[in-house]
Amino acid sequence: MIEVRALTKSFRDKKRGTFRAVDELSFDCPGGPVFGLLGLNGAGKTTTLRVLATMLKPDSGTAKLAGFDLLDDPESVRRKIGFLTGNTGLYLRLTGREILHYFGQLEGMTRKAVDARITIFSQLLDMESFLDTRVDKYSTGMKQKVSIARTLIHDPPVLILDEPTLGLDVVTSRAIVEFIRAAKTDGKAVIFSTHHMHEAARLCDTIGVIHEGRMKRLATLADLKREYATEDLDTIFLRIIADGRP
Amino acid sequence: MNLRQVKLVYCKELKDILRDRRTLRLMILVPVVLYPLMSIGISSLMMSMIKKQEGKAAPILVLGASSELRAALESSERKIELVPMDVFIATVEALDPEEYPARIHLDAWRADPYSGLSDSVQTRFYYACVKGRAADCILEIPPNLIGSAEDPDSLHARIFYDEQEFRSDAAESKVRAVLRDWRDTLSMTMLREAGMDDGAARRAFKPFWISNRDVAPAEKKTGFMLAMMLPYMIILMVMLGAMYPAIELTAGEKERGTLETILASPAGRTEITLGKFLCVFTAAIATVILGSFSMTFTSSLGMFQFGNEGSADVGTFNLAVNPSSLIVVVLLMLPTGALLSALLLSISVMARSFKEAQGYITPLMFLVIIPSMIAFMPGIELTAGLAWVPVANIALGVKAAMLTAKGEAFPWAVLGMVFLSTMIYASFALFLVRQMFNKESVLFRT
Ligand SMILES: Nc1ncnc2c1ncn2[C@@H]1O[C@H](COP(=O)(O)OP(=O)(O)OP(=O)(O)O)[C@@H](O)[C@H]1O
Ligand SMILES: [Mg+2]
Repeated sequence: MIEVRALTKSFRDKKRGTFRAVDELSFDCPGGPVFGLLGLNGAGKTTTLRVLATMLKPDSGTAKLAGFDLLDDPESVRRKIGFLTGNTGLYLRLTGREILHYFGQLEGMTRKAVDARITIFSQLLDMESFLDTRVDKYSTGMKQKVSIARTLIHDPPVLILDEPTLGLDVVTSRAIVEFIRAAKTDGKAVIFSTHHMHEAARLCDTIGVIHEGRMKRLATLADLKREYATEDLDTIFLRIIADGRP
Repeated sequence: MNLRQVKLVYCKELKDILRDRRTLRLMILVPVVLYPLMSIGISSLMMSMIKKQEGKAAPILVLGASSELRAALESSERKIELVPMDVFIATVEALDPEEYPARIHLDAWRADPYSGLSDSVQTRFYYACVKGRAADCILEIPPNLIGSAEDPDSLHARIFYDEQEFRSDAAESKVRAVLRDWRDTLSMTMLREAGMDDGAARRAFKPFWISNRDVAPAEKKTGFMLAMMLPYMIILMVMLGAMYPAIELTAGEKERGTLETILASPAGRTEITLGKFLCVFTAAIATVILGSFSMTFTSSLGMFQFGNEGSADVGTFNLAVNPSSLIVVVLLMLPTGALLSALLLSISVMARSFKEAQGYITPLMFLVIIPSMIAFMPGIELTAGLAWVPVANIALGVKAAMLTAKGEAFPWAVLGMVFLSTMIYASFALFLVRQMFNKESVLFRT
């Protein structure tokens, strides 16, 4: 459901001049499996995911999400994706319900349709008790639940998640992991980046390791484990980065 | 253009900023509460200070006056208290020489109060005396003041006072008034002594009175003060009212990480821009309307006091504003609000955080407020050329509208030009905001 073709994105800054943060990246992620994007700080994960979410325009190359090309029809692409990052905030002065309504309606849903989805999520994520309280009174866990519901409110076939568990405690992280797993079961295509190898090991079907904007290795998790003869993704990751052979 | 999205963004942003205390404080509290409180507070404080000074006996030192003049001063209903010389000297002697270095001239002064000190030293010495509360003012009557054959032009009764010191200023007025009455009496006496009968003396002394009447219509009179102040006040209010919403809706979103969420939603950049712009615009216009009501209300209470007491035009502000002027002003405020809102947005969207945005807006504040002061300058009127100078044109337009009395025709041609040019600038600024919202280097500045 995600097809990335020779995606390239350059930035300019004072120190480095013009440089490629994403360099001719290509990969596929069919519906069902989860694609894990791994890489060191500055490897280009966030940039890739922002381009996929149509927030940034690629310099060259393109990608198709749920059948729509992100250059030709970015708005349709945005309708098909749910986007969540570890830094995504919520509007502090609105209630959880108001936020879900806002984004649901921006997706083109009717009020009624949004209400129906909210009912489902508030049971699923146990949000009834706080959904009508303003977000500035929420704990991090509560915010995360509303964020998850916000990402899924329009039932998107594609999920783009950038370090979704950043800064979360074990319990809250687990909620995110469960949410990704459920999305996979629903047949959604999930692409997510993380620095937590155990999460990637638990969730991903396919792993893409990017380094300095280039795809260093692209393989299924099972193949990697076989090839490197270890269950430990940490070790595998480090070897790939170090360009080590098995 | 997806109007539904614009409306969704607009309603959400409006709800959001209406729940923001900082925004509300500037939008409502400042114009509606603080502004009247301040003007009421200041004017009632002034009034009570004046009342208090008038009711209190002013301690003055008199040098060389005749016993009649002393009696006239003492018995005056203006409440004057003559400070005995020894008390005066004792007070000056007790002054701290560190704080009042001029005190050291006391001995020279005592030796000859009239000419023991040079002019500049005398000034400093009396300044210290007033500051040190030896007396509120000093009245110096030369020994040969009355009945001398000298040229009257060289005969001076002199009052030394400190105008910056409220009590001293008040004492000076009292002494001057008594002195003037006393001089009038003296003139009459002299004329009588010269052999005139009472009627002739009175005629010779004051052959006629001069009276005047201001014939400007009431709207013009009110309009004049208001027309000078209003443009500045209104533009300031628009800026204050729109500032926080503009920051909150742009840099604030970046700071809290909500910008990415909205950018990843199907809402188009143009729709987001427009929704946010309309929200800031609403805040700006709401502030102006609230502020104008509050100013009108405060003024109608007569809280503005102008002119000196005693001068002919002690005026409370009678609010005879031409109602159609107010309508024209409100019409002018629409493009103004749009222009300033768009400018504020285009600047704050560049910032990465609330703090940074505030830093960017400060220079804009000056850039906008200073040209709005053009209305304070007398003699500058709205011309076809000035109608194209941003902000200054609005200030002059508001002033022109306020100065149009009931029944007079508005200068529609230039006012129309102000409206048009401001609309053009506003559209340009709005276009700029939209461009900014499409620029990756602005939205994702690192
Ligand atoms: N808006 C921008 N302007 C200039 N350079 C940028 C911008 N965004 C990212 N970069 C640079 O592009 C490179 C890739 O950054 P990116 O954020 O995609 O890395 P990442 O893999 O997400 O890293 P991390 O693990 O730290 O999140 C980095 O060198 C970064 O400094
Ligand atoms: Mg990142």
